[in-house]
Amino acid sequence: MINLLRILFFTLLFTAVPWKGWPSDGPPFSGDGRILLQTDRKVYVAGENMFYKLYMTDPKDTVSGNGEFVYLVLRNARSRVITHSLVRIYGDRAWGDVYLPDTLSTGMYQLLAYTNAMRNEGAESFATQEIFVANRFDKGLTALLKYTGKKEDTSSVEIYGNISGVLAGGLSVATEKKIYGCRERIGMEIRYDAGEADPVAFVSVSVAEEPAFFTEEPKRPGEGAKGTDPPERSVDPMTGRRYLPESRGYILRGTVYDEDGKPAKGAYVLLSVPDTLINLDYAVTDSTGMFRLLLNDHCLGKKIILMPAGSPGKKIVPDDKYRIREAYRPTVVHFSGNIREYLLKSQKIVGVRKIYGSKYVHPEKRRWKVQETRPVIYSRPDFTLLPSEYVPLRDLPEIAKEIVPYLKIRKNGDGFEVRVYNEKERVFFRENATVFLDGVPVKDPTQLMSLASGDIRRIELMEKLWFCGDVRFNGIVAVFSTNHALDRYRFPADVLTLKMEAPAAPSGMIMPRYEDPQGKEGRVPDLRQLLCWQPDLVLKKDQVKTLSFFSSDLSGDYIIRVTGLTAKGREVVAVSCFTVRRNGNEGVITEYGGGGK
Amino acid sequence: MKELRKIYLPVLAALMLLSVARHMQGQDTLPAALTEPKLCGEWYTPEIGYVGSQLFRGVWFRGRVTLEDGRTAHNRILAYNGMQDQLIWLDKKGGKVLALDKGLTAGFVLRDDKGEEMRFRKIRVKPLLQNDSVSVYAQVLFEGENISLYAQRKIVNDYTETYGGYVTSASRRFLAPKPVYFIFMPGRQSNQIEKISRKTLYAVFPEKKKQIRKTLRKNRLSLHNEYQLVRAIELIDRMGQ
Repeated sequence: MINLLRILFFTLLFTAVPWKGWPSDGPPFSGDGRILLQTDRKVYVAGENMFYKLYMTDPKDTVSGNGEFVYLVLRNARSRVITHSLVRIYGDRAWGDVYLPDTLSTGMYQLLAYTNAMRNEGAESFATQEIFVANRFDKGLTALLKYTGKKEDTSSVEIYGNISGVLAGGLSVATEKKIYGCRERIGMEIRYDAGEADPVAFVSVSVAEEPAFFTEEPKRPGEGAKGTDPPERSVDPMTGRRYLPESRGYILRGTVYDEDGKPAKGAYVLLSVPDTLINLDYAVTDSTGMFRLLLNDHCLGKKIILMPAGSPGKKIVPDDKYRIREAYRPTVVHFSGNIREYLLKSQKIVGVRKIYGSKYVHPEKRRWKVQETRPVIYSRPDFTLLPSEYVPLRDLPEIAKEIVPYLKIRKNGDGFEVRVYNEKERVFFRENATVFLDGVPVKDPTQLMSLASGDIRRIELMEKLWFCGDVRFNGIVAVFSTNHALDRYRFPADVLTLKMEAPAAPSGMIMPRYEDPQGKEGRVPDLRQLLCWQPDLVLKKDQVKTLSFFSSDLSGDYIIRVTGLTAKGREVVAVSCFTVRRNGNEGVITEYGGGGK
Repeated sequence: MKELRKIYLPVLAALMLLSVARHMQGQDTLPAALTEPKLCGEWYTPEIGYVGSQLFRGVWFRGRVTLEDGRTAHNRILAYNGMQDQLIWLDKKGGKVLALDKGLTAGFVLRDDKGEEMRFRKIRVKPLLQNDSVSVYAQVLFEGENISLYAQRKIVNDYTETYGGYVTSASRRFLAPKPVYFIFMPGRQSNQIEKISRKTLYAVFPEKKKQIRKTLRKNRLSLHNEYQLVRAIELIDRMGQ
């Protein structure tokens, strides 16, 4: 008996007590994935599109079928956020593109990808990628001296040619030939020779003309730089975490301050979206004044209205998910070959492409199911009125008086009293009804009183004592306008209007094909330095995948990079190279295989 | 030995709780305040002037509510008013009783004190002598491949007792449960059964009358109560496969 108890004791001891970090860091969430970030290239000219691929090594597949949200941030050497994007990881992978603005100055940039839950551990846990961007009009390229170390004498083809096959790790890539002509079909084979234990790999394929790019000492974000913000106190009491995983939807987080500037405890924050239906959600602040709201897809990409309930003077400060505490310190990079010549050539190419309006990005179909359900507060109103069916009336009080018998609007001092008939009690409510304009509650109905019959699409009434969770309504008057009257409504200072970001749709690359002679002799120049970007290729054990694309009008040395993850989270890489010449059809034909040497 | 037990057992219990809590936290646990939907409805006012409870089984249950948008509100104190066909939520913390909006509710589950769960679903039926179909809450009794059986737990005015003189008479209206059963088959309208008998069952399945009679005889099943009706529908559903 005692032995049994001892065994049980130690078993439970091992399962109950975590090895490290808990409870200070909180227990591990199943949604805490790690991210791997890949880009199509490392060197760009401002004005180009950068393609990316994201992998989650420990994905959380939710019941709803929606993946987590990933925040993608591009920041410059001074840690200033240049652009950001909200990406939805469906299952375990996502891809898309980021436009690099024309105005970017020449220098090193950092691309970061992280989930909300990763913010608990700081930028140390974020996926990062350093890229070099040259401004299109910067002919001096003085920034090269600032960030680059010694220049390699060898060309990128020599470097990649030497290492191709070595990096493979079960993955190999090879082209049919080593030398191709312009607008010629290029075929390649990708082979995944894996063991039984890890039979599937997900890879992206990039074929581009670019110099080899090596960093001297890879640094994690924030290394050597201290955060300036004080640590936040508002952790969730149950999970012991500040930032929660977003596997069930986007979490809007913020803090409410009272008139004295102190965090307001127990304050109600109402959320509404302008719509043709009344919708309302709310959250109550904790002891640190923090609130969280779980938003569904209905709110994303739209304007949302946040307002504190109760006494005026409160202030809502939303959490900026793109703010990264840790500073970025660019690493010293080494380029192969003559980087200056390459950049000057690329600047010209991008300039010509701009003149021709060449576009190489195409949006793909969304892979996730959109939850468009609204948090409505009633299914059917007690009374609906369409003013268009009646004689036009000059304002809302007149409409109420003449054609809405259950609504009483009276002038009272500077404001108006809006009372609804309580059908259960058979008297008018003593308190004012809650007035909604285009689906959003408005505190001051005076501004609505000038709405005439022609401005109102419909009026809905709830003639009951109605509740939405803890929020009480002494009757509801919902006015839906014909001319977006809410846009002209002046909200009090404590109301916050936010434009929510919509998740970026996946995108791929348009790769011209020159199978027919007419296309091959087309007069519009094809100036792609990136010949192929295939973001999502699934390779199975001992399977050979063939991929074909066409070379552009640009001659040069091109690098094939196949990178990705196996189903078990192991990184796989394969590289190879080939050359495109103006009259390269007489190139030497080699057999497939052999890692592309 | 006893002393050792005294030391080990409380520690074991604490570790077990810690282990379970840790396991649960690893399951993408988000605070309930964030994930639980806000239930909407009107202030509950029961009909007055009746003797007897208007609630299903006359009690409150612990249960969960599933909304039309798929979200679920867990661990709520609920009751079903069979007279008004309303789902009632007692919000102890907020100090209110709400009749939940039927249009927003897809169904609910009531758990009795023995832990047995009773699943209710909002179904659309066409009551007898009515032209339009209506939505009612009905308990799911059986859901098979071809046939489903639901019971609307109606509570009706069973009888009225009048007392007093000719001029100053008063009446008391007594309530009693009177379930109504609905049988659903694909491609057919719902069938309503108010009285459980072989005859009513044959009326629902006229084309299978002989087969049903044979099956019921073979299984020695008479039709007098709800349990037997469920059993009979189960057998008829199997016959159709």
